[in-house]
Amino acid sequence: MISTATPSAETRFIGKHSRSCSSPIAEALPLLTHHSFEDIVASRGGDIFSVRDFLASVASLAVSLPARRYALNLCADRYHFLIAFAAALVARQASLLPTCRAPQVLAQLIRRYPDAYVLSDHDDIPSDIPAHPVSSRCRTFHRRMDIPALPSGQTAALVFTSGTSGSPCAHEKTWGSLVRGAQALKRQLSIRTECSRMVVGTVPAQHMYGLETTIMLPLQSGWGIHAGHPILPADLREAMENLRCPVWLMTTPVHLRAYVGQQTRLPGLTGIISATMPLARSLAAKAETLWRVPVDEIYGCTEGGVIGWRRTTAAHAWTVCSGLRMWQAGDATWVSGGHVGKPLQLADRITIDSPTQFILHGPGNDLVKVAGKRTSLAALNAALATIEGVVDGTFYRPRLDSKGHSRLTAFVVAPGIRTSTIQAELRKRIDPLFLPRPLHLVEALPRNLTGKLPRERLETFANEVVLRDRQRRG
Amino acid sequence: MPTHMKPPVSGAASEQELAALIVKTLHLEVAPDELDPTTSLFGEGLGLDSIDMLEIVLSISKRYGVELRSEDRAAFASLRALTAHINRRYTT
Repeated sequence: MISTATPSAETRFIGKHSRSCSSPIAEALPLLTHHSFEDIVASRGGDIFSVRDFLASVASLAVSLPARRYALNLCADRYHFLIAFAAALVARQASLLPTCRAPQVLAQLIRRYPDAYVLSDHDDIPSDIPAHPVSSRCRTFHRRMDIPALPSGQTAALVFTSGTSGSPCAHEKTWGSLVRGAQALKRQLSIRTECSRMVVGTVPAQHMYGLETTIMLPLQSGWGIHAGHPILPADLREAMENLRCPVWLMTTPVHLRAYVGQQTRLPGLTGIISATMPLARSLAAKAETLWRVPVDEIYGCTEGGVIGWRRTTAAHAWTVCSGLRMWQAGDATWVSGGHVGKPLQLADRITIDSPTQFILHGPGNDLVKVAGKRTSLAALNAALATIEGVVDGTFYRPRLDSKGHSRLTAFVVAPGIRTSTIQAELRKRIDPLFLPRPLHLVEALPRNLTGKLPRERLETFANEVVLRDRQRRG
Repeated sequence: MPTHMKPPVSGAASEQELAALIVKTLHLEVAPDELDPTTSLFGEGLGLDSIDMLEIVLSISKRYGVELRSEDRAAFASLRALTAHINRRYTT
């Protein structure tokens, strides 16, 4: 008989024997909403993992986990990530999900959460922290199988943004907020759960957008996931060919541009979701023509998850996710309710068009977004300042190029130090996506009398330095 | 699966030519001949990231008609390994 792991709670079940109990102490929400134990949860190469396989792997991992509060989930394989994430939930442990694996960032996390251990499927992990291996090889079946139901108030994950001081800022995600976020996505995208689908993602599961679209949405829609993380066009095509069923592609504008440019064949594609940075309408139109599928765009942030969406080819304005309220106070835009909960200030510049529509103007002055990862110039400058020998320095974001993106550069005053040394030190402190290219060694920064670096002044300075460098190189 | 999407522009790859392609694709502020052919492209060394890898793969596909996959990771070990890999795929 099918029953839940928390009998005091009211919840939904798969199978015929669903039941509910009255007077729930706390709302409990099921781990997954698949219709049958034989439904597909994941696929890797030629291997298929059913709900039954998945639950067996989760159960056997959960009982073997060390008795600690925090599990640092560094799994590279998406199905391994899912097993580890679910096992931690079952064991009432919170998953730490850093998007950056720079050694000093992980060291900082471990110092802040001394009760943490690593869940990983590879060896490239810090050696000074206990690690527990994750695999999907478990094939021990239990006659009696429960769908875990988890308290909605349980801390499921801690996701991180880079604080302005350079040390990561943690954001708590309860199981309830993640489930409500997945349900909001389902409503916005008009997803019908009776249709079985697979999800392929080009973003890591540790990223909030990846967690929402490639872990939570499939769990709460009864869908399966592709275990890989294909980025190169040939890898993505091969992943789609192996799935042989309708596939949703969760991707980013940077990746999508590559697949459109290559005219990558994507058999079985049924829909594309893009996020992390605004998608050009022309690119969305090309994708829709090439694959004859809708391209939907999500606007969100690590702290709040999905905030709004739009069909890029049909609308410039974004629609606020149902259940959320958006308002403005001065220049700041706030959102609350639904899966977001308490009022949250958004870092982007936004104008509200109507009660449910808004226009996104781009990141605030200090915000830096590269390929879905977010940091602030203040955080990067703080990291730069900690390098021995660096007297002064600043990161600089040039204006967007013709492709709509720009690489960060930096101007550094560090007499007697080589750029390669500074780059190597930066690599220990920040995500490689934010490494300055190039890093210019300069004699002084154009600070004003109060010691500030006004944007216009820095821009003029940057143009002069770049010009000088070009002339020097001939 | 076809290895060649279209004929290459000019013969087989040379280390110098590939270095120039990488520098141009990624807007690196080094001269192509400053790139050590044995230095690793990712991780330590040049420190390229996954987006850089995607850009390089696209440029190589366009220029040489050779499609690279993540399982060809060994080919990304260095400029020398990448050149050899492209030439192997180009001639087979």
